[in-house]
Amino acid sequence: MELEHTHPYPDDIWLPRPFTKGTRLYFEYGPLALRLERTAEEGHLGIKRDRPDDTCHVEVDPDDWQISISERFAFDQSWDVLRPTPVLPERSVVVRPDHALKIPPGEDVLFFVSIPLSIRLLASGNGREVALSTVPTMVLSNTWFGDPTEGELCFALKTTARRSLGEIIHRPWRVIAPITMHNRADSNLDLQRLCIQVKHLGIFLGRSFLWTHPIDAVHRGGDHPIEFNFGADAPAFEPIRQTFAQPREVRKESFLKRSFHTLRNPGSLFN
Amino acid sequence: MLMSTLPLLSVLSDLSLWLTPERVEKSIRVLILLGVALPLVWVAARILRKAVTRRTDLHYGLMASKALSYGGSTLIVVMILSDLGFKLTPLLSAAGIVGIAIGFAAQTSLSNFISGIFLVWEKPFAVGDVIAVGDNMGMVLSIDLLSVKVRLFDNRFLRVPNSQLIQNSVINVTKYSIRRLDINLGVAYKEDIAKVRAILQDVADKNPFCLDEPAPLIIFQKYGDSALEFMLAVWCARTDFLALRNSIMEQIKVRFDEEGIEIPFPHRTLYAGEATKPIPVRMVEPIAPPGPAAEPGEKSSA
Repeated sequence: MELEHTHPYPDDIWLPRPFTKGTRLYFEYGPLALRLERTAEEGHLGIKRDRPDDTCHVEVDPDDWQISISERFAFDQSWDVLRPTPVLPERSVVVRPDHALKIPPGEDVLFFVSIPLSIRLLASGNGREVALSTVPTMVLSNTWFGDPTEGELCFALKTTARRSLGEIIHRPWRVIAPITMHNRADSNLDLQRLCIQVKHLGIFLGRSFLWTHPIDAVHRGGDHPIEFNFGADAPAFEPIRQTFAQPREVRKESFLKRSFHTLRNPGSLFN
Repeated sequence: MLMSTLPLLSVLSDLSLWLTPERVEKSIRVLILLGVALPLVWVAARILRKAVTRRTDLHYGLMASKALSYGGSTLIVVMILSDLGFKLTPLLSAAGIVGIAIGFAAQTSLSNFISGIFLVWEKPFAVGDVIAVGDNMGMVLSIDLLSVKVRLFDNRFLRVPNSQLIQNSVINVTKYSIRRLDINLGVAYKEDIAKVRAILQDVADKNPFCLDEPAPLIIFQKYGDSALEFMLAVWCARTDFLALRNSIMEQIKVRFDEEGIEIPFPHRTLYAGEATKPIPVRMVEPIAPPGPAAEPGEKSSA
């Protein structure tokens, strides 16, 4: 299945920019606006949130400069390039579908989850590159996944898990995670909440969207744990033009065991 | 000159007589025990603490380190005493008798010691946890054989005997990753209960520190003396507890003000015995304060 979408992705928002003395840069990533100013030995970052807009663009030496400074960085003049790059949230994300959903036995159901990105500002020069700051495009609420005594602190995603490609809204400041649920049990799978461990996902640039690795979750019922498999390659819904980020944490056996332990009871996964 | 050097020669002569090969060997052993073995025990205790802490936690690391340090030091002292020619059998016998005597005399300490063993075994809290003992709350600095040391949040030092911790309730505030904040509040009787619920739910939904799961609880508790009493119970990460309490209390007040929800002051209605009739009020003339008698012809101000 390949997506036919009319909106090309504005990939210039992730291009490296000269960041020499006197440079002023203005970035808009959906609800987030960033201003960056370079003086001789400092960088100044301003952050503004809650823009009522989904667009993304970058402006050099902008006219509108009404964001107060939030952070200052002291560095020498060798740092002369600034590169914004998309990163996934620092914690796992819990998504709730539009309505409680039951997946009948034998069904394979595909979801598209739109996750707001964080913007990492990388300064480089003399062959070195350092992260100045990482700013979430929107402040997500906290939530807990698991029992009150044992579980994981996650971010709650107020948006819904969409069922078809056509339902996805074109928002370049978000990344799409394709998840396929396989119900191999004899009974319905009651899907109410879904926890996505984003640290095991990379980010890819497609024609219209940013994508993560595809995720497969197999429910076998009974006492069997939910099996999570993270695809090794980019998803096939669009031609992939660039790999933006590799997974922060490579999947290991210990991780699988922990996931299975956490998700041993299907009720704790979809509660 | 010869007279002055005679005592020195005498001392040297005595020393040469004393320094038999056996005594020299023992002296060297004592020096090695003091200069090498004892520091080695301390270094080994430190390494053991780090290793055990890495595998378990700081509490067990400290316990293992102290056990090795005390045990090793005692063994070295015993070896030194043996090398110095002390007879250890009567010494240990005497120590046993003295120990029993001290045990009887120090029952409180013994109780604390045994309680300490139970604390280590049961492990209701660990070093670094925040605990509440009685009216005090602070961070556990160490769990020792006789007492637990706690740094209170106002930077006072609290020593709690182990027996007290075994006998009384202790709250471990940081045992779990999430906590619940209970907020009791009242609104005037004229307010719409459904609207109050909706506002509280909205405030909880919009607060970034408030977890959406476990879901906030809004409980209509009772018809109070002066207000309809509610409890809002919201969950948060334990590290966000203060931030949540500060922000959500303020947000509730702001929203109630915006929505015109009244938070009433305590008030009382007095009845004169019949439910529907007010208390009869009778105006009386105030009594004039005592003063000089009014001149004839003057009007009384009363």
